[in-house]
Amino acid sequence: MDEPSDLELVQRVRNGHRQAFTELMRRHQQRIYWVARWLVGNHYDADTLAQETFVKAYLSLGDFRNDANFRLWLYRIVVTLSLNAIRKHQLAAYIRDSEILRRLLPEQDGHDMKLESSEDESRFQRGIAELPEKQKVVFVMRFFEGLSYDDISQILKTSVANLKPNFVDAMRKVQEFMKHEA
Amino acid sequence: MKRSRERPDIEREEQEITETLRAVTAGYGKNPEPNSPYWDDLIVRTNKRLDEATSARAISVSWAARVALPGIVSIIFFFVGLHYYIPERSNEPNPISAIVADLSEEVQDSLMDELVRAQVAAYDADRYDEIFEIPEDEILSYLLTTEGEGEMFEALSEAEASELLSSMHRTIQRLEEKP
Repeated sequence: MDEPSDLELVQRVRNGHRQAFTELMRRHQQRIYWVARWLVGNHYDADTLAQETFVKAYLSLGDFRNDANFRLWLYRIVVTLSLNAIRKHQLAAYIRDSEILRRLLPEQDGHDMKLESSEDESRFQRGIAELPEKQKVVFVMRFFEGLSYDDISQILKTSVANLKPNFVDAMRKVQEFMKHEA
Repeated sequence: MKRSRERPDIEREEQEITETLRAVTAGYGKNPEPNSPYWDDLIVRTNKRLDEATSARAISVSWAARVALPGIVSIIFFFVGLHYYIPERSNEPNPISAIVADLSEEVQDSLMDELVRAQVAAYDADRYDEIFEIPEDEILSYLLTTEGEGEMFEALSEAEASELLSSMHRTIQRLEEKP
């Protein structure tokens, strides 16, 4: 018997069959985890973001359009959540760095955003982390996920024409960073 | 003409750099690769969070009605502030960060969740096109028009909501006018 499609499973969830959502998680969780991990750069946050992505997806299933691609929709959620996680870390770092605000806040431990990895790999990770947000997302989606520019443009709602120069530029920057830091 | 010459160049460059980078980075990011029990456990933990999220929803709505809007506004303000102040590393105190700093980490997390939820909803509704920009007034106006009476803004009168929106716009304008 053929496996049900994502859209059929979505319909079952909408009809009250929660188990169908577990099947959707089983199908997509590894990809979602790795997108998050490449974007935020560590296992702990990626683990949390993977969970949050599915919680948000489940709670927002009413907004999902039946003509849409469920996987790309999940990508959009995990990208949004990951970017916000990065911004939240920036926010915390900014508040910690502020002389005036330091007095208002208790001491906080800095949260390590880096991957646990070898030195070379760490350079690669840092190169990715240094990319501007848009290039970082395009890089992860294209380089690691192997998505087409059409798919990426659907996730990011940007024109295909802008994506290729962004991807090439991102790769150049990562490459140069790795050479420079070697 | 220029475009037709550039296109093959960028395609060739894409192919070349991709191959080089793939050769250099083969196997990166897979160590430690989460194992099979991890993925099973992730499903169990996510299902648990789903149970909590669905059962706690009614309670969180009333809590959000009290604090979420000011929180969201302050976080939106923060991002506006971040955009304008961080690049210059100005010594001027940022009032927006002060508002955010006053919140506990727990509240910041909850507010950020609300903001993300609003972003995803607004994005899905094609209310804004650029995922990489925080659509300050778009998010707020989206929330006000789509969720006003039903959910988190039920505690606010229309006048109060309008006043907050005006205040936000005024502040953004002030920041934009700042040299």
